[in-house]
Parts: sequence; C-alpha cells; structure tokens
Amino acid sequence: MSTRKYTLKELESRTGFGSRTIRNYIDKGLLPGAYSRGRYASYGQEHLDRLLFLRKLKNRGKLPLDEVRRLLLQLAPEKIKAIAHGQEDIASIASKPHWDAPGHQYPEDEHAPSHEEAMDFCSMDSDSKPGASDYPAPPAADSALDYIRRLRSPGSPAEPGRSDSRLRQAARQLRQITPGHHPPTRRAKGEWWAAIEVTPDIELRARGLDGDDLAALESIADAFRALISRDF
Amino acid sequence: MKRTAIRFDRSLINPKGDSVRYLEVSMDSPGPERRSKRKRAPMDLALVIDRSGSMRGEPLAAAREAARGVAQQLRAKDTLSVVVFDDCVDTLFEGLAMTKAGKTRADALLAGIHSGGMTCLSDGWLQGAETVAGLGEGEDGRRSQVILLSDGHANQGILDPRELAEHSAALRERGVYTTCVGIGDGYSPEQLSVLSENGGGLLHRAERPQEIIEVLMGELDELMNTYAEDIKVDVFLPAHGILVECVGELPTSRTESGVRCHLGSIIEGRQRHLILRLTCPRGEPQSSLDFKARIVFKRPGGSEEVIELDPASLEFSGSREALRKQKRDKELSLRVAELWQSDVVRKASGMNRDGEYREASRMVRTQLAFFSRYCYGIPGTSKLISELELLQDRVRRELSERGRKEMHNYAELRRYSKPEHRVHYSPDLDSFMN
Repeated sequence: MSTRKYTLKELESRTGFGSRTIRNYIDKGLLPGAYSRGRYASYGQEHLDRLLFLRKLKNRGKLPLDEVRRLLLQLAPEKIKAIAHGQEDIASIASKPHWDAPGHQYPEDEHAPSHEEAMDFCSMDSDSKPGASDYPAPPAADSALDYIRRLRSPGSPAEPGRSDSRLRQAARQLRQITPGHHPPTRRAKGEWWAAIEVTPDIELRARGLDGDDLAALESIADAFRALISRDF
Repeated sequence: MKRTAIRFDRSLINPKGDSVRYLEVSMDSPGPERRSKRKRAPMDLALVIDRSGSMRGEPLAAAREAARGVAQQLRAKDTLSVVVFDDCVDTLFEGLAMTKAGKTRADALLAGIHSGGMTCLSDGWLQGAETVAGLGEGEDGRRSQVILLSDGHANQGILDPRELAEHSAALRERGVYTTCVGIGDGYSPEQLSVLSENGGGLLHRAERPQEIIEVLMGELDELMNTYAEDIKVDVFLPAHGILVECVGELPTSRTESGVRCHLGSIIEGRQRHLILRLTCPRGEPQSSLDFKARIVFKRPGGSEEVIELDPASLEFSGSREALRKQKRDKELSLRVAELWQSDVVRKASGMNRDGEYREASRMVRTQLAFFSRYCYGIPGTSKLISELELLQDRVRRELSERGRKEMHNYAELRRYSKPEHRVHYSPDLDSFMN
C-alpha cells in the first residue's frame, strides 16, 4: 500500500476538485479527514483514490449524496482504486437508471447538456436541493394534528418505525451532548474509545461518551443498520 | 379546464437513439369571470411572525401592518390565528372568526407584538400548523394555511432543511399548507424554501418593510383565488431506457410506470406547465413512443379530482432529412429556454453562496454552450443568452447577498409560474448581478 502523502494543493491539481469541494466532501463523510491539521495538512492515497473515483462518478451524471455514500460503503477500496485509475469501467457499478440503457450516450448533434460538468436538472436527485427527495410524503394515515403532536412530544419520532427519523432523533440527542461542530482533535494517549458494530464490516467509534450518551450512539448504530439494509 | 394537454417541442426522433425532446404538460384553470358561480372554501389561516431581535423596528411594524391588512381581507367564515416566535413561541390569538368584532379584536391584539431574542423557526411554524390543523379537524371543506414571515436563519429547534422538508411535506399530505415570506437579506433560503416548496407554497421575498405588506396581501389574494392545489402530474413512460429530467427541478419522484411531479397550486385564470427533458432510446423507424399523463389535484376544501390527458407521441423518423427539417413548437421552446435559464441562474447563485466561484462560472459556460444551441431560431431568447453570458462572468467573484437572493427569487417565480407581488420590482437579472 502506498504511503505517499499529498497536500491539499496536490490533491486539487491531481483531481480537479477545488479545496472547498474537498473539504466539503470530508464534512459530508465521503472522504476521511486529513491525517494532520493546519496549514500543512496531509492526505493519503485513499483520499486521492476516492477523489478520482468521485470525479468519474460525477462525470457520469449527478447522484444523490446518499447513494454516493452507499456506493463508497459498499465498494472495496481495491475496487474504488481500480475505477479511480481507469483499470475498471465505472459502468460496472452503474446504479443510476438509464446508465445501463444500451448505447446511452449524448451525441454531439443533440441539444442535451453534457453530463461532463453539466448541471443535473433532475430533481429526483436529492443532492441538488435540500429536501427535494423528501417531497413525496408517505400517504397520510393520521391527521395533521396527530402528526404535529407526535412530532412535538419529547422523545417520539413523527414517523414511528422510520429509521431515518430515528437516526435524526439520535443524532439530535448526540448533538446536544457534544454541542457545536468541532474539528477532530488529536488523540490523547490512553483514551477510551467505544466501538459499536453496525455490520460485520462497519463499526462506529466514539470517545468521551458514557451512559446515556453511549445509548444515543447505539441508537444511531441501530438506525444506521436499518438504513443501509433498506432497499434504496 | 381548457388547453390542458401534453405536447412536444419536436415530434420526430432519431431511430439510433439519444434524441433529446421536451415534453410539456400544461394545465389551465378557468378565469375569474366564472368565480361568482363558485364559493371560495373558508380558510383557517395562521400567520407565523418572527419577532427575533433582528426584526426590531420597521420590519416588525410592517409585519404587524400586513397582518392587520390580512385580517381586513378575510371573510366572516374565515379564521385568523397569529403566532409569534423568537426563542419562545406565543400564540397571540387563535381561530378568531373574521367577523367585524373579530377584526377589531385582532387589530388590538396585534399591537402587542414586540421583538425578542433568538430564532426558533420550526417551533413557531409547528405552532401555527397545529393551530390551523386543530381548527380544521373534523370539518370538511376548510383550507388550512400557514404563512410564515421571517428575516433570519433558524438557530434553535429543527435546523436541518431535509427534516423541515419531511415534516412540511407530511403536513401538506394531511391538508396543512405552508407559504413563507423571507424578509431582508439575512433569511435562510434553504430553510424557508424547503418549508414552502414541500408545504405546497412558495418562498416570497420582501426586501423592504413596505414590501412585506405588498407580498402578504398578494399572497392572500392568490390563496383566495386558488383554483386547484396539491397538483400532481403523473407521466407514464412507454418504454425502458428513457432518461427523464424535470426542467425547473420541481419535486419529482419515480413511480412504477413513469414519474410523478408536484406542481403546487394554480390560480384562477392562469396556466401551469411541467416540462420534462426526455432522452429517447433506439427504435424502429416509423414506430412511435406514446406518452400518457394524468393530472391529480384538489380543489380548495374539496376532494381529489383527476384529469386523464390525451396521449401524445414521438415518432422514430424514417429519414435523416425529415429529422433535420422537422418544425419545432417555438412557443413551447421559448418556455423551455426560460425555465432552463432560471435553473442555471438558481444553481449559479447557490454555488456562489457556497464560495464555488470558479465552478459556478464553469457550470454556466457549459450550460451556455448547449443553451445557445437550443435557442437557435427561437424568437425572444437572445436576452436570455446575453444574461447567461453576463452571469458566467459575474459569478467568478462573490455576489452580494441581496443579488443572490433576488436571483433565487427570479428563478423561483419562473419555476412556479407565479407573479411577483412587490409593486416596485423589475425582474432585471443584470441589476441583481451588480
């Protein structure tokens, strides 16, 4: 495995993504954080592979952020690397409808926007606008009044059984425990990390939590498990 | 209902596949001249007013005046509730019937609004929604509407736009609609636009205090003259491999046999359009792709109605010559161009806000290349092209917050075919970009 380190500038020039975009991807969980902080923050091969992979994915058209995250979770690092460096075709992981339609390409003589850097107008893609994908609300089984009362009653989600609502609930709880969005700090020696298994391949790790806080993290793991096992 | 139909900008497609065509579903509503034959559904209206510190002074006074104006416009069968919020939520009055006495009482109570502290937008909105939901419960034929006025960025309660969107859509499904008015330059377009868009309404913009009154009165007028609400268009696709994109980014979801797009509402005497960009698959020459569509909507306070539209077809051309020489519907092409341009404007303003200056300019440039090709030969599109050329240059640097909000507003009004309620407003993109 390569141990080569990259600066943000190098990542920018090699992938064509701007520094803000790269930081944004880190914030959104598509990339791991930098190995070190500050002006000379360093990044590794994994960052480069993922960014090149994201570049290829982006060139094929826009995908909802959730789906990109899911792809990154599902694919082995070797696969991401192979696609990133052109050893495998991105079509092998086609997950957007119509990608796999035979001969699907935008020809030169048509008025289609090129998906190479083109903006995607499809509002089925939830990434482009917050909340758009949530618009088709589930059929209402209860009244508006019941819904609001349930929503406003402490500790009870508005849509019982919906894992993403549960996830948000737990995330809110966790946010209250750790107020504010703070950047990762350096590890302290001898610090205790809680590790909660989501699936055999995924675990959540957190430090500085105990009691109720840990229960909140476990709720997140439960909801996360339910979320990724759901058929998207 | 008149001129409600499916149309294509061009009807011949290439048998080799990948032809791009625009499908339009238009919906007309009868004009106000027929209004006298119908009675407007009684309305339970909640005004939710932000009284956070930043609203102090003129904006709050204007909101108070606007609320008084609304009370005067409502009828005796309507009710008005006013909820005010900062970090606390107070219901000033609830379900006050707008009789003469009710209006006088509302007038007196509205004097008691004073500015406070933080912005707990979600709690205020939910309180307003709960109020109108409670009033409408068990009574058919009433319209439950929340109008939220805010100048700020929520910093308490539910902040995540996706979560706000989810709840707003859930309430819309349950018959409570939300419209928002963003005041000044400090409001959060993300939070307010998801609330209104998912709540079946629109985010309006009021820059100056006087405009709060104009916008609120204009919105009330629209609510009173709504012909149909919660309009959904189901388009049934005839084959696999058709790529569908909604121009205007209206909320769209996939269905088993096609797509469903949510258009919001339509006012009496107006027309609404849904435009889909279709990338077609291969096919046998002379064969055709038949598209069907239906419109599902509710009359205010009434039950669901469905209009099945006559199918329309795209035909695989037998010759290259015929494909090249086919006529196009110029009127429809102009609407496509306007909507396409407003998409680019909205997207560019959002990227500029996120600091992605170079990326925004690159995006506009790429779009411009395709856009100008599409516009070739369509009267009225040269201004749209020159505006995009200017935009490509201007988004390279940080635009003013006012400019970005105006650009967003410009795009939103086009997207929902809505008029601007502000009296002294000119939709001049050039000035927004300065």
